[in-house]
Amino acid sequence: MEGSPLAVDIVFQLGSVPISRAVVTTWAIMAVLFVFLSIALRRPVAKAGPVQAALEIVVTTIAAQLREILGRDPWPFLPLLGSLFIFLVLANLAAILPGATPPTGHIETPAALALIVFLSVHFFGIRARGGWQYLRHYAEPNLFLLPLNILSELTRTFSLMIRLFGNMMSHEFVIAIVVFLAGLLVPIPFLLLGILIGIIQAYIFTVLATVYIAAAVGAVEA
Amino acid sequence: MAIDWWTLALQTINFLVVVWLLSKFLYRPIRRVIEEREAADQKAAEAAQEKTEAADAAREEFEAKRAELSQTLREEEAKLQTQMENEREDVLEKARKEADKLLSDARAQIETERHKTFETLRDQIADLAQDLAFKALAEGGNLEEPELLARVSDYLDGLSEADMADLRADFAGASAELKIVTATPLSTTEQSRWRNFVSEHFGDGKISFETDPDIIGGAELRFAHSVLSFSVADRLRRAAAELKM
Repeated sequence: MEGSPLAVDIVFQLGSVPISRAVVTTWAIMAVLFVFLSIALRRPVAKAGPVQAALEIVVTTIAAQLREILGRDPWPFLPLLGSLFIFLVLANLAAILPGATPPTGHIETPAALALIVFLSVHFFGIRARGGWQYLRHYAEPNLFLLPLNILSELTRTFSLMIRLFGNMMSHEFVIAIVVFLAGLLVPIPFLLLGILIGIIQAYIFTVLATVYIAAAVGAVEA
Repeated sequence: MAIDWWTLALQTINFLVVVWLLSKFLYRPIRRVIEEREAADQKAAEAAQEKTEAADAAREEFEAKRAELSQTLREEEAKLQTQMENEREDVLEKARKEADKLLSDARAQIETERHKTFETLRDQIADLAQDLAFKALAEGGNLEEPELLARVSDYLDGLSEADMADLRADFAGASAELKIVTATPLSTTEQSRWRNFVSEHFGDGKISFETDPDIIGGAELRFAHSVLSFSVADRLRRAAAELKM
């Protein structure tokens, strides 16, 4: 293990653009997703096969969860929130592949996701309520709470980012330290724990993003 | 820890690509399949509903036809019942008329037979009465005085001594009186002959003569405690009693 695990690991340069390992891993995840889905859902039929049925279960389960939180039709929110969950699960589970590091273990990926969630919250809020009505809710219940509401908006996005980054990064640290101190096979229980942590963090991130969007569209109190 | 802005930008773009990729290759196909399935389910449900409605309509039609058939059956039953009742009445009426005719014929026949029998009986009774009358008269009813006395004498001769003694004692009593009753009054000569006849058979005593048309003919000797009847009426009574036996 060389250098700080917090440092950006540049794999190659694409012109003047440095390509980090997190980006490469993300591209690999995207490639796997593309190939798998292209094959699995090439001809989706009403009488589903086992792979299509499994994918339907995943999608409908996520949709059902979103419906419970949002209290409305989940399909308009599914591309963002469902993708968030699936991407986070796959990205977090990349830790168990030899030589791969989870993109979420570096601050840029959680930051990018938090940024997208932050922007999406306002997008859905304005689309659901209208611009003025949406902006006015920051001054509720009192105009004096406007700075606190704005601050809350920023800090919750920041906490969303830090929570994911901190958990995944610390898990990477633990694995690295245990491998360094104890050898190759000892970290296996930690890797299994990492699967659990990865799924839980993906779930938490997605649920919190859903709650923020639900609050923005007026489905729940923020 | 420094943020690599290139990585941040690329990861943002990457995630947006992931969103597009999943939308195109996962959510849309699955949503389309689900909607097709729901549409198929809806269509099947509508088809089932249509079939149910058709079945309901068929059932209602069947019920209506059954009700109509039941009504027709009831009407036919009522018609048949009426027809049977009429036929029954006709048969009864015919039977009643035949019975009445038989009864009236029987009554007429009975009446005829009764009349015939009555006529026969009347003739027989007339013949019998005539016989009885002839017999009674022959036995002493229309006998002349001497013949009557001879007949009485024969009767007394046929009695036992004891009976004769009783009659004599009855005649000889202090307050005794022999009444000789005839249908028509006796002449003095006839009374004298009777006195002599009584004296000859019973001795001396008190004798009186009476007339009673009810005895028709002949005579009755009425002692104080007994009567010797040689009258036509008595003969007729005895003949009638013999006939009843």
